[in-house]
Amino acid sequence: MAGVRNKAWLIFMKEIRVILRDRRMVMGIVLGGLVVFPLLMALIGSLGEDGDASVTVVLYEPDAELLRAAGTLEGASVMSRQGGGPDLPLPDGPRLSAGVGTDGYWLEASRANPVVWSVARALEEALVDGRSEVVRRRLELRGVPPSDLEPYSIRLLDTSDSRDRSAAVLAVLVPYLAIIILVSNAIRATYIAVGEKEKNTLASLLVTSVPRSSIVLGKTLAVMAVAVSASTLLVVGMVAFSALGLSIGESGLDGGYRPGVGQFALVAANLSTLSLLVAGAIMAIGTFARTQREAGYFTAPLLFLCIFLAVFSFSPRAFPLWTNAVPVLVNALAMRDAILTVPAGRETALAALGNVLVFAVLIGAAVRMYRKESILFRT
Amino acid sequence: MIETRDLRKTFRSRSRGRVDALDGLTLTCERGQVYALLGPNGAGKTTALRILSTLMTPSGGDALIDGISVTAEPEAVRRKIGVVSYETRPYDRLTPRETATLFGRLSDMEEADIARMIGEISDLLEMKDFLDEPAEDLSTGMKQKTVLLRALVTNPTVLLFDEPSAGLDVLTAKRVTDYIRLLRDQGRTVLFSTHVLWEAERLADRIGIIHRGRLAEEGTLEDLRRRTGATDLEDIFFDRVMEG
Repeated sequence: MAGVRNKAWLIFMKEIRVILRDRRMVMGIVLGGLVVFPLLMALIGSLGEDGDASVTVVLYEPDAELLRAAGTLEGASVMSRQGGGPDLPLPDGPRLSAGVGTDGYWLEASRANPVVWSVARALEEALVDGRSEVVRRRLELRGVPPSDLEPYSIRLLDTSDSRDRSAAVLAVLVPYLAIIILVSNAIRATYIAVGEKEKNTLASLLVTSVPRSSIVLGKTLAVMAVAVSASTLLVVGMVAFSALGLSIGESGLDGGYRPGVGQFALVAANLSTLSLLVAGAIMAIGTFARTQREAGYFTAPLLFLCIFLAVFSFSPRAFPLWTNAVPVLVNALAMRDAILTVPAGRETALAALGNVLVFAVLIGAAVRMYRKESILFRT
Repeated sequence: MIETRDLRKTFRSRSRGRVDALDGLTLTCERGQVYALLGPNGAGKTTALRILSTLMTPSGGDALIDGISVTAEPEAVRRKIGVVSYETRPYDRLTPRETATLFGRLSDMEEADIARMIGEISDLLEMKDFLDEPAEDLSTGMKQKTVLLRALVTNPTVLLFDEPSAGLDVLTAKRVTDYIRLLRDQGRTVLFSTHVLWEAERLADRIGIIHRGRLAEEGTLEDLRRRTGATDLEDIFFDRVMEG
């Protein structure tokens, strides 16, 4: 067994040496890992700012109360139409309409545009607040304390602070980006498995006394190293971003949140076992395929599947128990919960168990393929 | 010593159906001999060498390297052989020295022995100037020498060469054939396939002409001349292949 490990280590070191001499690949891993997060945050921030500024609120025959309420809106321009005169042209871009009806106010907005919808909700809230104030004043004039009628209004208070909002953003972005970066870099390392066949170097390795399991193990470790290094750099980029206290637009990440060591340990544990699973899948695909192009027929759907499963980390809700058996999804949810300081030890342990089991099956399949002559020849 | 006994290999092809690449190949190459395997394209030379080097399993019969069966104990066979094929390439991003060191370590050699073997072989093959250059920067001949160094660094007792001089210029090809002769003088057993008949004439102690998966003729050059009445190996080769 010690011999197997030593030879696997030699194969691993060979692959790492080859990777380190591939400058483009190293640049891709380092830049992809460190730059992706700040870049995305900048993009999200700038999109948010532009979206808020461009909504127009068109008021038809407004009364004083509607004008007051519209005046409280932030990030929206207000246009008033009165008197039944010739209509002025409406501006292009997203807008909503409001007016005074026979039994109250009316608002028209498209829910398909979340920014327009949020402005409409803000206007609705301002109108309700204004109406409540009028009622309160009328009660006071009649000598009735407004508190006698309470609760006649319900106020929803936002109890979050900047730290909570940072945590919410990180809880969405860390699992999603880490999984995508991990899988895409592992795919980039497919050539570790398939390249030797394509470049006619594998036969020389197979005629040595190195056990097939050592060859597969060494190469798998190299694929894992590429995948883990990229996702580690991503997390480093996020931590640095957070530690520097950078604030971009309305993204909510303003540096108030510092995940603890335990939380990062849980994220790292999830990424480690996930890298096992992904490296196993890449090895199985790379062993089965004859060329990098052929491997692409399988790795592209793998990436899409992982992106699809990682998207579930966007949802803050709890998922049914059976989702713990779905690889990648369970890792995404465990990382989300770890960052939100929800206990995630059970999910992490289940994910580790599932990933190790699937890894063992995939590597077993790769070793079996390596033992057949079809690894080199079409027979 | 290399032996094949009634060696068979059958492939299934969609277009051609059942193909018998080897159809009962039986040959013997004694210890310290150089054996040349001649034959037209598709005769079964490469398939025979792939079975001997444990990369393929036979459909029937067996092959032995120093008395060890390639089907029963492939890992033990791999400890004895060095394989050079015109198809194989060195690792592009490693230097010849790094490649040879890796293969020496994979064969559990001591570092000092690896360094000594690299020194000896690179001297003989005139590789000193490019021993520390990445293979991707080397010429075809230099790469083929790197493949030789990789196969020989472990000091194997049995060497299998599949068209070792294919694609090489005259000078490099001569260097390779000289080296095979030296290996024979050192007591190694060498089996090589080739299309170049003069290589077989110059190097081989025994020559086997393989056609349609079986031996059409075998013996020393003198044996072949005596049996066929022809003096030139090219005439002997054409006679036997056309007859087959």
